[in-house]
Amino acid sequence: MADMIIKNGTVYDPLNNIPGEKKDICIKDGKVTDKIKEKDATVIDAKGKTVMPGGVEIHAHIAGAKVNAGRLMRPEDAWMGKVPKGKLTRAESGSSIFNVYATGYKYARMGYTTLFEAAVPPLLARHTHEELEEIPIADKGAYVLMDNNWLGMEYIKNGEIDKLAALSAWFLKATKCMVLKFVNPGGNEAWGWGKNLIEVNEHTPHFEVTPAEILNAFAEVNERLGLPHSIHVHCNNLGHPGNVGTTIDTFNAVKDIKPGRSDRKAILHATHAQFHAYGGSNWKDVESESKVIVDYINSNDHVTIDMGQLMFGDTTTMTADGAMEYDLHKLSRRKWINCDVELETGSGIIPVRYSPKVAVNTVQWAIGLELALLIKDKTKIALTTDHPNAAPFTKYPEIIALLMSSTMRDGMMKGVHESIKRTLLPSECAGIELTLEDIAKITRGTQAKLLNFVELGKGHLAPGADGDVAVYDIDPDKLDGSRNPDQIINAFRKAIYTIKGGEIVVKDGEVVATPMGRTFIANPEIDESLNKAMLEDLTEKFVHYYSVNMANYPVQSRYLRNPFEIPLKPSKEVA
Amino acid sequence: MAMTITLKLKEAIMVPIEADSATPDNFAGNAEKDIKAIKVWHGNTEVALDRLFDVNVNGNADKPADVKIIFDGDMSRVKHIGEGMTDGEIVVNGDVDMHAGALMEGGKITVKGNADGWAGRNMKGGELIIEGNAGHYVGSGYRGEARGMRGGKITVNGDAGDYVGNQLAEGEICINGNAGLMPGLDMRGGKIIIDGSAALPGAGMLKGTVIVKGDNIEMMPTFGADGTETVDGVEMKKFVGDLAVRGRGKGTLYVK
Repeated sequence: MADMIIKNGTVYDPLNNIPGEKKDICIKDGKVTDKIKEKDATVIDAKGKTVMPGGVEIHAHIAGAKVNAGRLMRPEDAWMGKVPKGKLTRAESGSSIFNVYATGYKYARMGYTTLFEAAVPPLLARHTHEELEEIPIADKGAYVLMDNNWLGMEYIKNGEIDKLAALSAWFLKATKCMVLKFVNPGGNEAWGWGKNLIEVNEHTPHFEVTPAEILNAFAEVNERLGLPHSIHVHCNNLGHPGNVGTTIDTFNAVKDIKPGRSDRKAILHATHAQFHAYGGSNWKDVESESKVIVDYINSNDHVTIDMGQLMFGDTTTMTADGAMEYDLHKLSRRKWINCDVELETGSGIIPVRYSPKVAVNTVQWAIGLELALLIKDKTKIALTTDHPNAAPFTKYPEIIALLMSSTMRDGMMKGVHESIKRTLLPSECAGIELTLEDIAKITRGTQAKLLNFVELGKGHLAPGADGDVAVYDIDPDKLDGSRNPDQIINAFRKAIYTIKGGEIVVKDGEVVATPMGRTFIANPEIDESLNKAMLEDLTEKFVHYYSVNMANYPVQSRYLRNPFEIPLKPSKEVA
Repeated sequence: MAMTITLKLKEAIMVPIEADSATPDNFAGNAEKDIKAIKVWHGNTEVALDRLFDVNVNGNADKPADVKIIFDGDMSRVKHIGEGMTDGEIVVNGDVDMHAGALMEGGKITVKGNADGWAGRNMKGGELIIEGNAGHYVGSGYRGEARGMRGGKITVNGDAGDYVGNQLAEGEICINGNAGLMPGLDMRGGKIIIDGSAALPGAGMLKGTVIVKGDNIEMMPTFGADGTETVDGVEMKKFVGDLAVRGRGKGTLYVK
């Protein structure tokens, strides 16, 4: 691969305190370096352009069983977004649930080079990897769902944290994932009994543990194993009016846990916080309580969030939170899938149309923006739409423009439901505009920091970083983002260049190369005798309850063409 | 001003043609050579119209309303005829393949022969007349959609296949012969009139009207009797349903 130099661009690299400097970026052997011999190198002239590290997606549903079930349930979604095959690209389909190729291309066109699939039911991990392996260009990783694991809940009930650590390690290895993910902890099990858990101190049927206990125990395990990311949590009571109390209780449930690694302060990442920041008592009087979340994040370091920004239009919701999807189905009566994943979790899928004429949708739309505008430290909040739940990820450019242009927000606020008065968008957020540096944080820097992928070369451009770079058609010296939101949207929709590992993959918004990325996995080490004791318990579960044989359960190594084991930093000997 | 374009297949074809670009909207305001050069899909290749058809252009027109297109001969392997047209007229002197008049918004299509499936799919306006028989899914929505036809009128002089007016939202469908299974499935508005027989009409309907005048009707068990009413001078039994839908289907079904 030829060396490369990206000359004269304005570089935004917030993790290295570069807030928009004229600077050259050199890439050698796929990595950023100080200097190269210019005459042998590919030269990219980025004069008058914005240069950022490749984008990092921290939370999206892009591969696996529920994504595919969504595709099967929504043929209309597939053909509404079809793009014929090109010389290099394969046919794309989907307008909210994309096929694997479209996922890779569309992210790359927006300058994203690293993607994380946010919810893998362990039993169906093989399917997730089969799809991840077909998503071109980006590096990938996945989060394994441990929220309602039967054996896990038994260990928590009995206070056997050591064995819980061994169990978590086993599931990470068996599913080839790298983050522990929790969706409606305890609640999905309750849903199996036709119930749900609304408060963090309610007990799930039979296992008699609470969401607070589940999260606290797993947070400790997470630190012991030295995983790069904190536990990644979809709080209980998603999407219901007045749920902000549950959210804050969830944050407090892990406050006593100390980080096991010096390179991360966060203990819990609360994903799609927008869905968890509601006041009011019913669908009519629902109001924004984003201020509660904002104040908490501004004054605490152990919690980070991502937006889960809702955008108006048609999309598909899919989550392991089956109970929540049933509630949505009762509201809209649209076609709906519910699924129980044996001893592990659940899931549900339903199409939705978010409308600016609907009170609750308007409030939801406002809350995501409020969070991003009002949280002071932008390395605590990441831009997401919980793709495809609150909007497809292809809406990111519009969200960036909304955050950078109060004029655009004011314009949109004229066309929404009067419930906008019950949000902070017209008042406290008025006039706040994010800078390109802030955008560089919430679209890549923050993600890399929260996932602890900085050392692994993601989200920044210091020497040694991966040669993942996005060049956008914005001249920061001339940009008046407030007046030109369309320019921002167009620029972020189609990167002039997306460079992945030193190779140009997108030029002028068109895909020009489709290399295969790596898949990040974590292999925590566990004391052998402890592991043996845990395996005895787990074997019993497989013998009595699972529909598959334990030997057939783990995802075989051959499923991953390019696995990359991330280094862990266990805090103490797990024994 | 008026323009008449006659299209005649040069030879019988096996591989289907997708003729959705051969509409009054695309022909209006074009010279003869430009019309001949309009691309259509033939299998997986895109070719000029006059590679497949003898194209005969008479007169000229600026607006689609003044354009009349005559497909002369058997078009049973030509799909998407008149798809999305907003005005003007298309006459087909023979059979047509799937999706005739799909998504059409205005104007008039007359098919003198039979039509295959999906005739008038997602139609929004205008008139589609099929003088022979029609296949399945006349005036329905496409796979997975919640709403099908939203306006316009479809008339089938012969029989129609299954799922006439699936997810029908607005507009009118008249079947002068028999209909197959479940006409008006999941419909939420509009009107379906079937002169002949039908099986399980109105299944899942929320709103709208289905009238089945024939003798041979298989009824859904989930409709409630609501007396009799005179429809077009004939006394008919009235039913309300489908009561299985959310317990509150408010559609009306008239049967003999």
